[in-house]
Amino acid sequence: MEETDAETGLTPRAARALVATQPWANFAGIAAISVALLAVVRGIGRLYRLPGALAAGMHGHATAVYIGGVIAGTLWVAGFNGVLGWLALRYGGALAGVARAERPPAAAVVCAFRLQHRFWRVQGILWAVVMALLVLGVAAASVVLLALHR
Amino acid sequence: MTLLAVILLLAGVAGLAANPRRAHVMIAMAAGTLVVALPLAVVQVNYAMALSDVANALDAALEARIERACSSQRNLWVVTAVVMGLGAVLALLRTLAVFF
Repeated sequence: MEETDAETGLTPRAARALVATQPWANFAGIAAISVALLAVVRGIGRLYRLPGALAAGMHGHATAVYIGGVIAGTLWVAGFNGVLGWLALRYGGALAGVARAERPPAAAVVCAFRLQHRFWRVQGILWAVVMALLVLGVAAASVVLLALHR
Repeated sequence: MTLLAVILLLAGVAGLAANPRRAHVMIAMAAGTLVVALPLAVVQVNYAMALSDVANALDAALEARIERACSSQRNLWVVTAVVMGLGAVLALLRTLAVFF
């Protein structure tokens, strides 16, 4: 039986599992920030294509909806993934502090777990917002369809 | 995400008669989302259960349960990283589609 660290309460196997998470947390963070940056590039690309859409006959109300949709969508996707990526990278950084030490201090382990808790809490809140918006969207679409068919 | 996939699937099935082409796209999207969301849901539930076990553990069983929780959180991050990597590839393809 491997000896448990008196300060952190972690067995060596538990500490190894924790440290092995670091590259995955960093990868998740980099991937999420890449998604955020690509969303910004895509949003700029769509706005850049606007003159073409206007030439094809889109005007007035449709143009405002198009621009608003592109800006809102870009801000949401970039914000969602940017925040999650940043939190994942912070967790990865905290785990690097745990990995560096022969016997990681309890403060480093607590800091890592606190950052992980923050990541999952923020992700949960953001997904709850997504689901709420989805339910509202489906409800609004249903009301419009019912009104049109009445 | 699993719930999102189920909603997409139901919407696709409901719209099959009205607009088969769009309904098939929605059903395919639902299937793709399920393939990604189900493993994520499994590891999330597994980690939540491991944390619950730690909270309810007596001193004698605590070490083993902390070990299990640490392994579960590693598995959760592995699957999360893979899902986010797939999301990044998808975002790259969508961005390229805007320009080309």
